[in-house]
Amino acid sequence: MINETISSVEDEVSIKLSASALESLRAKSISRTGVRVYRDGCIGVSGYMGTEGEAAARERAAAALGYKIPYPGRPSTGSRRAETVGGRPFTPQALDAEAAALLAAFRKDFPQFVYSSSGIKTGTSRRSMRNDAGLDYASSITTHEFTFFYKLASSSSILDGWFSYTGTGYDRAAFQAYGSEMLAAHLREVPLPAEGRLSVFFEENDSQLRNIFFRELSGMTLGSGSSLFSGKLGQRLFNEGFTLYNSPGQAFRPFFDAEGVCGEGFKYIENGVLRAPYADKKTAAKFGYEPSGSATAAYDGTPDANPGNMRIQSQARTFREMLGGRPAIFVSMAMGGDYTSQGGFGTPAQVAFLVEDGRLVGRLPELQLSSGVYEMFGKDFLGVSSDPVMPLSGNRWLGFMMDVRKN
Amino acid sequence: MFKFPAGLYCDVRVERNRETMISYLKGEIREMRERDTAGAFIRVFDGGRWYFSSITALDRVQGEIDRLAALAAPNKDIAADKMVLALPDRSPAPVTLRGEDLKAVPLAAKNALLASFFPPVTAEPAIAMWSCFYKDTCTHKELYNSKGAAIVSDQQTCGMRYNLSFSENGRTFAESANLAAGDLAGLNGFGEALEGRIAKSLEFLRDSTPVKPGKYTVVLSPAAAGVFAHESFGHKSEADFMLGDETMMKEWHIGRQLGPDFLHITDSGSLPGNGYTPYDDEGSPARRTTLIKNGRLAGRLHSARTAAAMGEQTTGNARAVNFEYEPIVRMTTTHFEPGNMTKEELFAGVEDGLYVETIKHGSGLSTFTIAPSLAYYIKNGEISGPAQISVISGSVFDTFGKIDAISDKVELLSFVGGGCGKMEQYPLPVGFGGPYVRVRELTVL
Repeated sequence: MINETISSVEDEVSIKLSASALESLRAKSISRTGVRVYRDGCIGVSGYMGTEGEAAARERAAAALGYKIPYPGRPSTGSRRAETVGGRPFTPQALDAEAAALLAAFRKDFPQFVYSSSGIKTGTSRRSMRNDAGLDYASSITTHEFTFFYKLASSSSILDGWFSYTGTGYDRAAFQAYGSEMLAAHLREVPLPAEGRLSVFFEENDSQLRNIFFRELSGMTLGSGSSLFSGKLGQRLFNEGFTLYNSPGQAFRPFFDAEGVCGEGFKYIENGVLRAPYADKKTAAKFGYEPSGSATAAYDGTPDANPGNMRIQSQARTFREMLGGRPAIFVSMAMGGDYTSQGGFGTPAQVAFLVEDGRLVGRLPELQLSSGVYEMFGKDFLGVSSDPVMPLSGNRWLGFMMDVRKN
Repeated sequence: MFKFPAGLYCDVRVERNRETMISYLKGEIREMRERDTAGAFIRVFDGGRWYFSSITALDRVQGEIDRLAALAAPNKDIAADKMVLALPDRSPAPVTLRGEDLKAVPLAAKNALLASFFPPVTAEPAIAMWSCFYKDTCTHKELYNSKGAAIVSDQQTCGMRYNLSFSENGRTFAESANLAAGDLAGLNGFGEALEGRIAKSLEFLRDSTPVKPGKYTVVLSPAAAGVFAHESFGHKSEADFMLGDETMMKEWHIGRQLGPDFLHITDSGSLPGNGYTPYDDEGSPARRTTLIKNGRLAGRLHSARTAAAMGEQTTGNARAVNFEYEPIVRMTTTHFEPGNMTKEELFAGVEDGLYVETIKHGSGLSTFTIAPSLAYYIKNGEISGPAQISVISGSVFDTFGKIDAISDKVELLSFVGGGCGKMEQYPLPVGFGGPYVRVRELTVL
């Protein structure tokens, strides 16, 4: 029998902006602990919130073995590692002052807009996983988030756009320059040069574009034959420049997953070739896959595979080099689109900008974008830039040729 | 109970939850647990700013009140603040559970109920992968404020969901059957719904064809119409989006004509189901709020803050997703009221259009979107075959003007899993549904 403890402590301070004013300051301190017992190929799990309750949780976890929940994989054992990412969080007073300074700067330079936010945050997330078979992992990650929603004072919309940064460092000037470029471009309406096939860029972490891989690259779905990609492992399905991999680090998540697997760099698609699905240990054992290090679990739940840390590998070319002197579209906000069951893709682009020579030059009308998964990540894949969307950010430019129509 | 500091408004919301979660993957048990949690959210207001704290250590509540108070600036006129005046000062009778207490139902009984629906799934060879879960949540809330209010409520909800992945001859399709209710008796009928969903999914898997992008007349089922009402208009009725925004106030003024005179939309926290909110998370009682009447804007949803700022009444819509978050203006159960014709008449009026029966998700800003799952062509007033659609969209500003028919019966719905997202708070359970709604000139991709 192996006993395991997974703990999570989230400390966070956040500022809320409303109608271009500081509205509230919130502090959170949430502690959760999960207790697992492994015995005879089964797992028993329980947990508690707060700082007390381990003994009772351990009794409940042992009792839960009676539910006979199978766990054919072995728990991770015999490895020690501790990692600290980021520096210190802002104090509440310092975050308050920083939010006020940014708000004042944007209001001064761009008084045409009304600003709001519930995403000005600083905090530290501590996770640990220990068991009596020698596993001892600990992670502490401190990040800062600065998200500004904006709308023209003359606009009837709830919001007209946003800009956001999440990372371990912070530089006011860099964030201000990033936001200012978008706000300035928003004030200049420009026409769509022409309808039809155009170069369209997104921020690489736009999850809507990867929804198809979240859905179809599940190990259970792929292994059971119900995925669009079932039976195609080892085949070149996409552009040879397209590599999809697991990166908890870029998502500011711990280096270990909910089963103690370290999956940084695990490749799902490599140079266009389908290599592996995302899988927890149980799925991996069932179908003969490798665990991808992408298991998640509620603090008191059993692990399950989750695709949340998928990223697309960047290439050598900068954004400007990818543009090659041609104008392009940058989609800042595209909400509500999806893929059909056969891989067709469509989405409205609520906020899009015309890009020339790597700069946002003006705001385009609302657009409709359409394509398909094999086209977007195949012949129409333009790649991911080597340079970030803004200094400090790990987020890069992701481009496709797409069919573009005015809404 | 707590010592509230002078010169400040303060409230404390304590939540104690019992959750049950049982899940299976292809008939194999994956999860079976009962979880007890407790936490508190503390708010302090000094007339200018709010100061919040959320904690899991309930013995630290008084300390947090004092810590937040130290950040605030005491205000001798706080009791006369308009927003503070809008907050409750009474202690009504506790709200007790409706229906059978889920905490008293043995885990084995819940497990047996979930497993009783395996046979139609395992009997269908085209279902290559499936999972299912049962979930219930029992919430005991206590809210105490510095005006002397003490508001206690008990609520519960339960539901089941079967996720089904179909595969046949190289084609795939994923659908689900989903139902939530206030107690187990409310889940009667799930088996029939599941079997119907399997049959329709098989037809879709085998016969669906991609739709040609363009503008179509679209008929929305009660489920799709509910999401349409929620996304295209519901969020616009949340008054926090209008605070300090003269353009929004002018654009969305009460009395503005938005659609035909048979268009009515309401929100009510009193209705049973996922949106049931007898008292909101700052203690205001539920109200039935008419948002659109005879096609004209008639009301909006409020917290105490927005109601005070706009000189209107609270509506019981200040909700938080759980004790970790502050209450903000949210919907409860929002739906179209009955309209101007029968369902049959509504379909008969479509020569060449589309019908959306189930959806994957929706969104709503300047453009609202609905991503359909089960959708169909309509030819000469009849459903003629399944259609693959990525997304349906339209402008929130003029789509209501393109509604040309609403059927005369309302079906309210509650689902388990998922919910409404606003800012950082997701998922908040909401109820929705409505009649069948016909809309012209929606963009279909």
